[in-house]
Amino acid sequence: MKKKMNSKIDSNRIGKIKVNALRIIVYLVMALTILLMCFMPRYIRSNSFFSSALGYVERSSVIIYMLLCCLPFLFALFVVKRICDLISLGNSFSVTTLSYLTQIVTCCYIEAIINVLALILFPILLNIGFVSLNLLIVGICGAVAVFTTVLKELVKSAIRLREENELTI
Amino acid sequence: MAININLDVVMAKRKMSVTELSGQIGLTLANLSILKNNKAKAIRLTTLDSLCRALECQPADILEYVKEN
Repeated sequence: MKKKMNSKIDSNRIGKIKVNALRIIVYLVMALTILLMCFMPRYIRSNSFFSSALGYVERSSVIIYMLLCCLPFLFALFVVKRICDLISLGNSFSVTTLSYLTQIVTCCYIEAIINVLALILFPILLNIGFVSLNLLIVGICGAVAVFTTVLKELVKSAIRLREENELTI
Repeated sequence: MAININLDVVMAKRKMSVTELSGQIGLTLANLSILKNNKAKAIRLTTLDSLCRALECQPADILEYVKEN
């Protein structure tokens, strides 16, 4: 009995450590993305390929496209941080988690749409590197969206089970 | 749901308050009020046993089947 309780306390502690580690990773990636958002315009302006191949308006639109790409990603990271907060509060299976997962799925779709639009809007950038990178991002977004949708259904059934368990007296 | 729980009727017959009953059967007031207000989804046989013992009644006095249209 005591051994069982000890193992339960240990698993709780490990779970908390995992959530904290995930939160630190989320903060790090957020910081990296914000840094990228700050330095990317300067890099594009100073890069010889961009300055020779693109005019001022095209260069600005490429910068805007890259900043737009970062926004849904940042928002999704912020939502993941909120889910971590919910897990550490012990309220992981709630309707709020479902809405957060829906927000992540929407972010994935927005990111994919932005990248597909970039392929259409910037014909001057249509080289193998850019197209393959773009398609890779679209593929990853699609995969994340599918996995998150499956996770959403799992959380939905877990909420139903929890409710049933709570109302069994 | 088609099953009604007439706990309040039995309690009124026995002139027993919710606090008294919860103290006797070791159920929290919150759970007892869920049961009384017909919000429970299931009831354990052990709970039903302790309720019948405390209220000196049969399960049929507490539970009632009502046909739904």
